[in-house]
Amino acid sequence: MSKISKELVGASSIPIILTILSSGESYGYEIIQKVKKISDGNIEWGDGTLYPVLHKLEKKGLITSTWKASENGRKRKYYAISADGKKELATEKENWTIVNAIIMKLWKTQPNLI
Amino acid sequence: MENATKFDLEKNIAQWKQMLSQKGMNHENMLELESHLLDEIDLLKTKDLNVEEAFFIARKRIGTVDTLTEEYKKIDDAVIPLASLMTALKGILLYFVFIYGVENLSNLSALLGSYTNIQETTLITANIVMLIVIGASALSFTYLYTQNVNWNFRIFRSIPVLILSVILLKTIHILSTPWIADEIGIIYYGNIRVNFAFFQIAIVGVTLAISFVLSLKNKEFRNSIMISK
Repeated sequence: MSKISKELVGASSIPIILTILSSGESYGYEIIQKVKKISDGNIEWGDGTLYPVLHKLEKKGLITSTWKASENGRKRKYYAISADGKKELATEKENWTIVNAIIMKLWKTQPNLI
Repeated sequence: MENATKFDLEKNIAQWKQMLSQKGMNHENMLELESHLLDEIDLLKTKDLNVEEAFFIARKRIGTVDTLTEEYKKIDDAVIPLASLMTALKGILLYFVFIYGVENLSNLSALLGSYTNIQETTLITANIVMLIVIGASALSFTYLYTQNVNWNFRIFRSIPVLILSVILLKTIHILSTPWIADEIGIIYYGNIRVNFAFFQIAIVGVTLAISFVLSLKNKEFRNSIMISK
């Protein structure tokens, strides 16, 4: 399978991050590892480029951040989803489901278009 | 054979951070990236890589210094228009606070002077000297402020405080002017006003000169960037 386009990776990054954070707070490195594992390597974020996206979400008020010391004493910035973030995630879920349904319908009724 | 010189991880991370900082990365973002880099190094070390190899691979994976700083800039750029507008607004408000403050101070000193036995011409000269000293100190203070990043005058940056000061200073001036003019005599007051008008012209002149020099410098700077590109 060829790699997913940059645009699609970018567009899907917000629902992916919000979904991961909705199951508990996490830090950048852990989020990246989770996405790598779950997508079987099909989604590849340039490691460092996740952080600006996290900061953008924080500015929008969808997530919050706190510095905490981890078990090995290393300081990490933990991110958690906010109430607004949960709302945004619900909207994203709806939108992605709608788009998915449309595409699936089209491909079923006009398979020769593929 | 073992490496003759031992790999210094801390030193290498410090160098990497310095490169990021030179490209304008802020301290907090750098700490977050450093924490990421250390996590990645830990993971790579469990895969039988030595510290040096782990560091170079982790650094490669996190992205080049240019990519990182560009990605961060994209986020910051979105808020720049409003932020720069606010800075300009604060500058304008600060100018009014300064001008109205000096205006009141000039009137007050004239009033106090009229209560003494000193001759009017001496007082007018003293007023001119006072305005020159205030103007010069304001300029040198501004210069030092731009040079010293550690100075933090929050009060100058609070828009409500600035707006209140402008209103308060102008109200005091409007209400006190008829009384002061009456108290010290219209001719003496006229002289004080003329001094103040010259003071304002001088401030405008200096501001224009500084703007001109800075715009030339900015042009030179931009040209040099274009050439290096």
